[in-house]
Amino acid sequence: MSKTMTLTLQIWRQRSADTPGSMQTYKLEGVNEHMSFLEMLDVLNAKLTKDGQDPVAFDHDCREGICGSCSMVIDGRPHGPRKGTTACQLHMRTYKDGDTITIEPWRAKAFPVIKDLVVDRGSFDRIVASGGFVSVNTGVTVDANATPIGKKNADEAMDYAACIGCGACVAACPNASAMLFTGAKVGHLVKLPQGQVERRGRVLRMVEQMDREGFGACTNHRECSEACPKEISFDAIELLNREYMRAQVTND
Amino acid sequence: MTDAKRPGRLSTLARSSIGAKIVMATTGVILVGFLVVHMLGNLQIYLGPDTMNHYAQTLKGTPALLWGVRAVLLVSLVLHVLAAVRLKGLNNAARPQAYAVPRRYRVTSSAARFMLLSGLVVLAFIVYHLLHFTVGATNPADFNLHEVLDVATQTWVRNDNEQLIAKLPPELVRHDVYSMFVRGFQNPLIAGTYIVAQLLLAMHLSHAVASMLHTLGLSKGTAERERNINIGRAVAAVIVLGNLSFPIAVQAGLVHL
Amino acid sequence: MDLNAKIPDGPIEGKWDRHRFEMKLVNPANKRKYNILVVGTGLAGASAAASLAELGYNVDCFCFQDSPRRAHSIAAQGGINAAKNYQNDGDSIYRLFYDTVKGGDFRAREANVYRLAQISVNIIDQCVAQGVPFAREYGGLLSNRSFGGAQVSRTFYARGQTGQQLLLGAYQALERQIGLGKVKMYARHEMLDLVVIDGVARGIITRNLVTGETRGWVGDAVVLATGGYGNVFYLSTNAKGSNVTASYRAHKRGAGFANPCFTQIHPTCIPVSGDYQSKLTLMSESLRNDGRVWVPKQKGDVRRPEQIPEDERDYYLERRYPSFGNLVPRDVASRAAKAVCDEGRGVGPSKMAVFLDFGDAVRRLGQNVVADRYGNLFEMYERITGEDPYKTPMRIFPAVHYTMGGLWVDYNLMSTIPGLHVLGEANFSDHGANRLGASALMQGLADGYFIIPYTIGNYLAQAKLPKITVDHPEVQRSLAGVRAQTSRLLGIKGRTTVDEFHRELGLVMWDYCGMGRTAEGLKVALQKIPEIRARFWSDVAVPGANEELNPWLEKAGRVADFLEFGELMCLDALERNESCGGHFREEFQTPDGEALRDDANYSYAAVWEYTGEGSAPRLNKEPLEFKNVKLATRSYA
Repeated sequence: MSKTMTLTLQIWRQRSADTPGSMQTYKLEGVNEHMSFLEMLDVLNAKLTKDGQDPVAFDHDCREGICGSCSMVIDGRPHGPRKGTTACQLHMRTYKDGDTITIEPWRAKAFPVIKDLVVDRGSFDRIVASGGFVSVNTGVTVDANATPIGKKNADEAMDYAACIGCGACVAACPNASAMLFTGAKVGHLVKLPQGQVERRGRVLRMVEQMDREGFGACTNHRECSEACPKEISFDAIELLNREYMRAQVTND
Repeated sequence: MTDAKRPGRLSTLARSSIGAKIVMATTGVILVGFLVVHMLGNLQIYLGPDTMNHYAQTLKGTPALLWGVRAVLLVSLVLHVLAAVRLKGLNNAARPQAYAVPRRYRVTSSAARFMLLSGLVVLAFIVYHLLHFTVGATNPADFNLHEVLDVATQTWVRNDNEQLIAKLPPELVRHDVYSMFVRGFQNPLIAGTYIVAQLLLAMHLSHAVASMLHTLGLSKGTAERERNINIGRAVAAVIVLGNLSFPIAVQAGLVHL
Repeated sequence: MDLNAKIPDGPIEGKWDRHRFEMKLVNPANKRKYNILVVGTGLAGASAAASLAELGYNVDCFCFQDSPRRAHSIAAQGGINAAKNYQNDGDSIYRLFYDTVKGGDFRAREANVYRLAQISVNIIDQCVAQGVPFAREYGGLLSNRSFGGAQVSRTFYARGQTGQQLLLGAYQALERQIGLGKVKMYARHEMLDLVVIDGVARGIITRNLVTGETRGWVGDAVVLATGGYGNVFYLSTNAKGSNVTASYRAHKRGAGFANPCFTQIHPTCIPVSGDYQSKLTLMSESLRNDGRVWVPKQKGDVRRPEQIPEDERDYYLERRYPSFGNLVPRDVASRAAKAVCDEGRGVGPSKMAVFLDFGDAVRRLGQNVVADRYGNLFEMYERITGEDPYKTPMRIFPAVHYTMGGLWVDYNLMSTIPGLHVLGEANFSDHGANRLGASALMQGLADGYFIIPYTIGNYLAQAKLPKITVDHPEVQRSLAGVRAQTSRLLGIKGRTTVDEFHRELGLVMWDYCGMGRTAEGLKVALQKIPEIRARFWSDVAVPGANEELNPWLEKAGRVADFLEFGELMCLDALERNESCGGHFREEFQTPDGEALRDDANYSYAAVWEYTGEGSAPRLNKEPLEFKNVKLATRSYA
């Protein structure tokens, strides 16, 4: 039979963007070891609702580790202790009876807190809008197999494209830098022939937008790739640096 | 998007965060290169006063090279510090509200996290070191030591007669760097200061060299990156072990007047 | 209700070409004078918004997620079908068309399906040009795999993340238009009503989920791409936010809802582990290639699976369907699992699961080969259940996965309300009563990239649309209605949480309108649902206020709609006295327990018309004609 446990939760509570927040302590009993972390929060919220208290707001949607919605720092680590695992796929059997768990939102100027654990990640969208695409309109008539792409390049492009845009890299970075995210998109497109035409302008514009959003600069701590639930390699950042330098000395 | 929206070349580099990182890394390459040469040059202390003083004399005898190098180093150092301050400013601003709970890091090192601190200590040390050994402001008695060339025997002999030295033609006088060096490090306080500074330099370099390689995008793949991290630590170790040996050797009496 | 599907004349192969020629065009310079509201940013919505903006239309685009990239299309794993015939294995547009109509158990509109098969090839070209990193062979050409219900390899894929990669392609195209200013994107905005003026869809009402501001938007056409309603069952593989609200509120404004009872139950999901369960996770269908499905022969056998000897195991799929074995289609596999669990032979703590055993595969192929094929899936299973499938059999159970029903649309993807276009899973679509694997992505992108950009122009070129603003009384009336509902929800201050009501509804739906349905059961459900609904409106606890981020208020609104919609589903299931595809009425089966279709009486799309609160919905019928495909019984024995 499954075990249950009693936990002490310390959770960041903040009513809105412009009110100050603080850590609040909650005791939660009867947590089943097979629950997911978010289901544990559901149970807490049901309890808070019944007690007439304000439940904890957190972003979530697919709950299977692909949509990138969930975004919480658990015990000092984005998405919690398990490598390559989003908070929604973390299960309570990772914890034991009597544990204290701290939960707070991503912290970065470019990810302002909206409420409790919910942050605004629109900055990521704007980085993509600045150049993270191939400029083709609908209606392409070139056959998909007209340009062969070596398996190695296709696989590497896929490795970078696996990013779910959750922002754990920014949350993990001591500098709140978004270079892993930006590098992953640049890397995805630069590995493919379709991405070559706009190669130079893309990296310049995306980096410019990244800076404008107020993200920090990478100082090579490599915490981002360690925290990434999709295990995007730190190569993305070295690639971004190379592409940026290349863009300084080439023309399209 | 249109070309009009495309930013100009130098202005983007100057304004961008990656630009600052590139400045950091390229000036870092120059500074680390200097540190290696500086340490290798000083190893001549173990070959005795004549070799050491001859080395110093040669450097002084080629002022174009000496001042050229000094200019490059000064510019590099200034840019390096400015870029560091700028990046630190950006990075502090990027997280105005700190985490309420201490972070649990997975791979980064204290060296990486306290780069600015170790850098500032090293900077202060550089200033002191220049005042001590290059300008001679802190210990003038050690600094104003000379050798004169005994024309008969063609050997260099220590001479403390300042009035005489002032009269001799420059080719017959040279700075007694060896004695300055040894006398400096015989003072336990100075030796201790150098040792502490070198330990902080070690900390700084242990992240700096690898970081420089990452910023220049020189590793492709985890294996290469691990290798570069190890190279970085090895370079830091070699420089600092060499430098540390000097005060220790003097204190231990292995190198003496 | 006018159910003229406006199918072009002529042979099926030429209908779409002919239609494209006959449709009216909007002059390029005039396109910028039109404003189109696109709701939803999944494959269909994002591709539509981007393509319409590229043509020059002004687009306002809305999604309730925090970013358009998070729409639930992102979670599709397997792949996307296209009749490219790159494998030279005999595929063709006609074969894809045929497989889809047959797979849908002959309840789809032929002309639409044919067009879908034609367009499928363009989708792959488009996506590759956008930089979608499809899997490739060593020679650099695109790789394909085979999928259920087809005998050719026509499925394109990007690892197990095909939906994600296709969505990112569409999202990037959308972001490009946002950057160019042609699309204005409103994330964290939920559509809460459709504005119909003089019988024409002219706008929507949204709630800003951050500030709580409700406001009206007007435009020249509205495009709904708001996905499916699987969450009416509470537990499904859908994202937590997926809901029927946009579709249902359009339905209440006059859009016919077609075949609501057609739902797809996917056989290989991780079983429910407890009451706290919030959603179900799909394990790729590909596992059935090497895994063997079994339950103990004896009821109540509580031994660990490895202690049960071979001759006391019932490999029921292999026994019942010797030629297809473990690879029978989704609906068949799901029903068989339910049957053995109903007999009391289910396994695991809940007894609502069957084993999917890789023991033989590991012995035959070695652990390395198995790891190579399924390693990531095994890891996911281990992460969720804490059990190692290399050592002990997986436990699986069917779960709601996709809904074939949706708002009725004609050949132009326009609903029964002029100006309201519906794309993707939200429309009643091309999948009939059962969707084949890897066809949902194809349909979403076909609708968004290649159909709506043409047909919306045809509509706009002919529609006479007076200029209106958000001050129009009809907009204000809708706005007032939405605000009243919000206040009402917040004012109840009851004791039961939204989730508790949702769970209760879900259980009723699953028990009576799930994998097996009976007239008797459906009647029970039709009694229970209004009862739950009445309790909901008197006892729901919605904490917080309107003027803030309030996920519980959002959820309450969605559950309120599910509580009405569930009833419509049951009605539809009760009305359809036959079994077809995902709709299995236990009274209508062959002696071997297979679905028994009634083509003479039920070869139609059931289109429901809203007739007001408390009044029974009216059933309209669009007869389905099969001129190109011969009606046949599906057999997998």
